[in-house]
Amino acid sequence: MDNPHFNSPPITRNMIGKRVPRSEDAKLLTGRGRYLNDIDVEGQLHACFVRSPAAHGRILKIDTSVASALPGVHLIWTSADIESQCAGMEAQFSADGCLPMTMPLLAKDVVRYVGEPVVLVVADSRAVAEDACDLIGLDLEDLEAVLDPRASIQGGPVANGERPDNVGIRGHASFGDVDEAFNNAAHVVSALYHPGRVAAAPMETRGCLADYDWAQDRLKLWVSAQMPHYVKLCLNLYLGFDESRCEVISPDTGGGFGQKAHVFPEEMLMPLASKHLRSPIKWVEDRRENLLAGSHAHEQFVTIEYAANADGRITGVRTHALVDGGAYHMPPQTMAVESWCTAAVTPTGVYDIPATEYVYEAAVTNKCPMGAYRGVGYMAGTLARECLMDDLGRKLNMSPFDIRRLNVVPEFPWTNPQGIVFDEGSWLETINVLEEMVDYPAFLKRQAEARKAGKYLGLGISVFVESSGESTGMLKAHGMHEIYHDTATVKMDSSGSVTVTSGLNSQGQGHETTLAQVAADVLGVSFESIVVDAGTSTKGAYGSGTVGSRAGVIASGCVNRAAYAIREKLVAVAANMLESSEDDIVLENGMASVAGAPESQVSIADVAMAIYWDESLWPVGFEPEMEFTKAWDTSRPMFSNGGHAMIVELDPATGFVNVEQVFSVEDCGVMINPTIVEGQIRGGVVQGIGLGLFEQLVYDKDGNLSTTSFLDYQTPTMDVSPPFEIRHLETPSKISASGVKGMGESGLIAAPAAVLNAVNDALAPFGSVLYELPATPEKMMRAMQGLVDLEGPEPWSKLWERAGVEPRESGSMETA
Amino acid sequence: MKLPAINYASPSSMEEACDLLSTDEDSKIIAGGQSLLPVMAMRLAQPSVLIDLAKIPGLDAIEESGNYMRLGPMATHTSILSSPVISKNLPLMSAAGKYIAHRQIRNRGTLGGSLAHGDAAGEWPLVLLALDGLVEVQSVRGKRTIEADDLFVGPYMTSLAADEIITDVWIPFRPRAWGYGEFARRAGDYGLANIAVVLPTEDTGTSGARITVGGSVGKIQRVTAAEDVLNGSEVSPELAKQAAEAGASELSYISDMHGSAEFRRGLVQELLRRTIVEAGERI
Repeated sequence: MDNPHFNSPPITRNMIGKRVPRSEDAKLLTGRGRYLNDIDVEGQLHACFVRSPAAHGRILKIDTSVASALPGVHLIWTSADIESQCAGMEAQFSADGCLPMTMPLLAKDVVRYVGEPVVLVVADSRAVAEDACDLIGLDLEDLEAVLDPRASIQGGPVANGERPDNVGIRGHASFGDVDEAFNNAAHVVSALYHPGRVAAAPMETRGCLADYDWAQDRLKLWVSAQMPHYVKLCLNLYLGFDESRCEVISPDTGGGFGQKAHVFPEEMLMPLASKHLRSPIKWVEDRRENLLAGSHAHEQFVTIEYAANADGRITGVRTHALVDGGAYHMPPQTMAVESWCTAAVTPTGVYDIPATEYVYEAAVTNKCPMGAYRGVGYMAGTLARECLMDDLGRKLNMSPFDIRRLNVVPEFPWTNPQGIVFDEGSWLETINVLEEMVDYPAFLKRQAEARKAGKYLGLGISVFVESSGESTGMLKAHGMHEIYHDTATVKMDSSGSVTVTSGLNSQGQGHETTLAQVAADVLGVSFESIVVDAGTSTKGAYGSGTVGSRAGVIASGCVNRAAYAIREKLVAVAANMLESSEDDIVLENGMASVAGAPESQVSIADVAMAIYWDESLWPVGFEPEMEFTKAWDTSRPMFSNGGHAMIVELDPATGFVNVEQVFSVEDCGVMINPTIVEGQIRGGVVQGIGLGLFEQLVYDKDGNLSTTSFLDYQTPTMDVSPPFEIRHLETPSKISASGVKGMGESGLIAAPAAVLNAVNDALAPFGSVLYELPATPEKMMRAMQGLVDLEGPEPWSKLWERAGVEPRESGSMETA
Repeated sequence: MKLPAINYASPSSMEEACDLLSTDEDSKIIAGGQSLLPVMAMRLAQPSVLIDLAKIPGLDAIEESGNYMRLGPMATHTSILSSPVISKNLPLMSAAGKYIAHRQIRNRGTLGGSLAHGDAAGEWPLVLLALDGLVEVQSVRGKRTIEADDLFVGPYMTSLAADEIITDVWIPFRPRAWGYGEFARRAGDYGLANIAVVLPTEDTGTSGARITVGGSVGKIQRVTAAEDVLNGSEVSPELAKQAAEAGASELSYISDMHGSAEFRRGLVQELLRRTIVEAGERI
């Protein structure tokens, strides 16, 4: 189906591609941003939660009597107070085998993870609300805490009665003749990779401010979110508000990284409480709450197995992805975003592997639910694929570049075993450019000399292809039936200045700048004449969410179509004013002129003035709209690609690993703004270094989270952020506005694999390999002493059988 | 993480502060609030009254006094780090102070607060003990002097009585070779190991080495076994190694998510070696 909104009118590039300084920065860098907690509404009250102190327990009694009597306390709610209004949030993903689960707004009868909201307190101030929380008695009867996903996925004690088998998702598929590949393989390599549990840890924590106006029956909800329109829908679906009576407002947002692409119980409770009390209520969580309950990320156990021929050509890949899903599906993303995506989307990467089969599972455990964080599923899948590629290279005595060159897809279009078509890419060139940037022979020499001096350098590379600009096309390619819906509104004033409203809001990515660059080129006006409202209110254009490396592609596609509609109006009137054919009108530098006769021109501002105020200059039958809202989407998936190389130095006396240098290659098609692209790369890669070397959420044996502040949860800081060298390749998309592709997630998708490969290269003289992250100094010391406790992968036949199929069965797509 | 309602007093003299402190045993002195305020915000401590020293004049001195540097308890980390007389007379102090947290915190945190808090990961306690300093304290009962060797008695524990306030910090300056090192994964983190080394030089005219350790060992202490190896011998890389081994095996270590006792022992031993070598190069 080729819908009109799949079209991208052509754009003449002028501002697109320029390193325009970010329009947002003067405000954000001088402390003039207005974040959620900067917004106060007269009479607002403040919320705080009693959160579960136990991983798993039956609620025997909640005593709120003392707290209720505390001066300044306005409301105390437990599950009993709200269950008639909302029975919880059901989440389900349309991947095969993803089973629905319902997250209550407040725990009912049973608590299922430490940090789960149990009691809501609303008071005059957050401090008083915290005082009241301290006075609430919560009697729990301990239930067995289910904490080990590798055990719980096989049954046993139940983490959440809604899934008595502890299975949140289980599915499998097979494409091509995988058995034959493995039966005839000259080499088989396999490993079990375990990236640790991390948190997106945005600098601004979660929060919202609900203001219900009883006199008009209207609700305003300010929320720090990536999907404000979806939040508005949830106000209807879960709480029964008419959407027309709701406005969801996105103030400046201090990072989301996927964490804010959820809808949280706390955000649903504030509107209910505000309506009940007829008072505005603000909830801004502290870091402890954010780390306990804001959603966890990325922890998976990924078993991967390559069959290769004698030369090292990979002929088949098997992937088993198991995510430690926590106690619930985090709505709406669910546990599927990790293990389904890893297994179904990432196994072949840039490699020409003809056969693949996979199993994906999610284990329900008594931990904070697993949610989205930059590079969902892709990170773990890329880690497994790229690190096992290095193992294969080591086994065959081939350089990491050579083994990849041998296996990379040679030409396009290429269709992977699952039937996904990749239209274009610079996959081989990425490997070649990385090798050149690193100067591989020189590195090998330096590495050898350093080893003689007792210093251990390691080089790790990681090459990726990323589904970018998440669209309807991408969903359909993976057999799903949902679609995306995104629009932009462009309006030109009578004096020629332009307002662009995007349905996709910004968490700091620079939409105000990039969308103005696109609109400027479509309309031929100056960058400065354009003001962008990047999705600050749901009263504006519609958006499915700033997720999936999509804003640059989707929002610019919508802006292109909406601006193009205005462009057509300008061209029609300009042609009439200049007595020329519409085909000959050029819009550029604020002027409408006639091609080949540049002296015949009129300013675009004058054309706009004429459209608003001077009927005499209109062509016959002209309709004078100067405001258009247009949707854009694609019917085909779109992929960006790239790679990273990292050089690390390992201190053998301490186990400390220092990242000396990062080399990045990015091909996101046409760049709207290279400075912003490079900022995305740096930020994402540094998050990957965090995951690779520093960050880990630690649960103790009772299921208490030990890492509840930045003292213990250690994100990377500037002093551990290495210098970068970045090279851009440009393979334009054939379907997007101006050929852009998305790239917001690429850094975190691929950096952890480069870290682990570099670490393992540094460890090579010690004969050790690590398969889990983060590579902490202590793990490095143990590895150097040969004390790595490598947990071998489970046999494939066992995993395959657990997924519900006989081991020998293979061939066409099968589902559990 | 918001403070509960608190009682707050802002005395204008040390006598008044001592009176307040002695009348309520649950009261607490606040200087810069570097450690106390987070603990209160996390509701791990709830003093009955906060007695703020900020309005008492003259507590932020940094000056030479004979062969000593005299520092007031309210001298901030930043003021110490930016003091030319400190960098001239007590370069170890300048070197160690750079490891304290981050700039904003260094602007607020104070010397007296750090010493009274007695956190093993703190830099100033290590320095005071290595440089053989002393503190003068005051209470309604009078004044007394506590040598650094007697000040730090355990994790977050000092020999200050509950009603005593540090009024002056005295650190002798004389020619000494020194070294300071910290192993932290990120700048400003609490060190996994931190060590100060002071070695006598020909001009020192006093007795032996003073080596202090914090961080991984849970309390501020001297590493006497390492000092014993060094005393009376010329420092060499080999001797530094021996001293580090002797010192590391004398100590006991904490174990937590950031590292096991065994791992920390290795870090302390390596840092002892490096820091002794560094000090040796300054002899």
